[in-house]
Amino acid sequence: MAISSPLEAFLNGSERVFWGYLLVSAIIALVWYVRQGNTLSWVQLKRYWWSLDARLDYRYFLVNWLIKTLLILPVLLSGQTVALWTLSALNAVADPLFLPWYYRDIVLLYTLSLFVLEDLSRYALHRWMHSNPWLWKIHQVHHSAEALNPLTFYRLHPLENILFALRHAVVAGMVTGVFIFCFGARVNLYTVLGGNLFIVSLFAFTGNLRHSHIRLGYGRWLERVLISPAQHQVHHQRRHMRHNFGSALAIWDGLFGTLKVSIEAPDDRSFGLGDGKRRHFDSVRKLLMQPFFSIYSSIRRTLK
Amino acid sequence: MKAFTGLSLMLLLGAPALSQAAEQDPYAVIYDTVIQANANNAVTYCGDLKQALDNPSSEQRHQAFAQLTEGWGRVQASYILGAYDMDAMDYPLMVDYFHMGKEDIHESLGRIMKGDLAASKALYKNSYKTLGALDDVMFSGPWTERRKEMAEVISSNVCKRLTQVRDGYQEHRADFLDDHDKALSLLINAEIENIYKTRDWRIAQISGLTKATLGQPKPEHQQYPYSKASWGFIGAILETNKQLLADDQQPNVATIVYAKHGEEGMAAVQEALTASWVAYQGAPAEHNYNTGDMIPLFQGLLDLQKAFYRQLVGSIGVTATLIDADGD
Repeated sequence: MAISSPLEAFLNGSERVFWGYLLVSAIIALVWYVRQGNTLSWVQLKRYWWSLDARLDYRYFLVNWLIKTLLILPVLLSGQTVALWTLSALNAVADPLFLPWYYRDIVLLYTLSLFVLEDLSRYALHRWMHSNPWLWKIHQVHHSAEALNPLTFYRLHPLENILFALRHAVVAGMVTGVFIFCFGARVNLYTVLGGNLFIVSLFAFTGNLRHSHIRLGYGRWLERVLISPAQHQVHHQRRHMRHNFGSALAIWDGLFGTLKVSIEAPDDRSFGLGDGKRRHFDSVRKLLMQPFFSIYSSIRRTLK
Repeated sequence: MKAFTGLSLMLLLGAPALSQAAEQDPYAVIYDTVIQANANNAVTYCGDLKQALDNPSSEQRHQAFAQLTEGWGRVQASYILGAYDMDAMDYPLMVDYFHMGKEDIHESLGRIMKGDLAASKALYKNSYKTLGALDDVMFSGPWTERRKEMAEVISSNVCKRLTQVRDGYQEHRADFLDDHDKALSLLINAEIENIYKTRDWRIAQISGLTKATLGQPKPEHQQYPYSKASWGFIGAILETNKQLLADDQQPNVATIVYAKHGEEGMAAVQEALTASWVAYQGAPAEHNYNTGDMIPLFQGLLDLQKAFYRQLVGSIGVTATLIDADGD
């Protein structure tokens, strides 16, 4: 994502950790926590926000931002390029349609299409990161956290950043190309705070609780439609890593047999990789290098 | 009190500047000086044509017809009324039926011409009452009373529709100015659509530059084959695009795009438009849509369409508007 300084992630409404979403998440978390009969103390807050994992996430967030900005973004395929390719390919086989739909209907459909197809592709790639042994070595970086906080979202290996950015470029570019082919220039997004209307309204305000210890569930019925923070925490539990790959929508997990509603999983906070594997991921250097060592070791084993 | 006086003075001095700034709002300028002005002119030209039907000079009648078709070309190049009024989506088809339907209008009009049924009844189909039909009736043969009678019916219909367009724009000015994103999208869409249609329908298909017609010009298929006013229509489309895009005609779409930091894309669009205009003006007077003569204009319009798409795709900013391009 194109951010010019790490601070901008907190100021930009199209970022997960935008201050407004963090604030709403904090209020929800506080209400939820107090209603559970707990009391809040400085010691508890310090223990949570200054844990080993939290401090590692803060450092990694800065380093990963630097890598993304300096190394990945300049060479990455953009959604705009894919949109032009798509448009050229469609124009080569058929005449542009210029369908006479109303502007508001086109914008609504475009916004919805991007939301749904982005979400589906995120589900698919996330699931692949778990099922493919090579990709899993990369995605392990994210699952190495044994304590979750909002910045754990950014604990991703740069190779995973590249894969997700390419996915985004392909999906957003193709959808945009198809829409321009069908409707000409009348393509736009309904946005709130700079983000896709549907993502902001259905996801952004609780998105930061996904990586936290606030086990906020949506109830058995709604969790079949929307992924709750609790369901994502279930995904981070060692025994349920093959469940709840979805981002905003739970329907993909439901359709493809990977859904686990939060009430069916114990709240044991057994996050991380277990078996003492955390020691392979307990510094910024190790987070960056471990996947390469792991892949190298696998190749050596395969060749022997 | 001192502060109040100072503030009052500033407001007083600032008032003319503010008023000028309001007048220079590019959306308002585009609406008033391009969209509305072109619709007003088209209605005037239509009235002129109706008067010219009484003129014995064929040259005067031809001039009036050419003026009307060019006026209509300017309206069509930026036609956006259909987005504000559903009925208005069909007005262009009621003015000009070019490239629609498979009926041989020339044959049908020929039959009507030979008959003695009143023109107002005989010309019952919409396609018989459009500019294409008027071109046929006025210029496909010697001028007669029967042709004049038919031309009067057709021109009345065309004038009625153009008046609806003009009035529709007067009614929807506030709607256009209320939603700038929508207004800009509609304008650019109208430009892209008409650039595409001009390149494909009015140039490529006529001059043998499509896969199906390669190297085989068919000038008889041009928009107004009898008056040969089609070439002027193409010029009107290009001129309207210049009005909307050229730097020296600001405030216009270029002004808006510059405010959105789209200088690079706009430069590509302007360059392709200039090349198209140069190719249009450089075509030999007697080109008659010869394949070779039309290639520069065809290429210019193709480049213009591509540049528009690049500018458009860049302005949508698909990469910046979604939360979480990353994984989870």
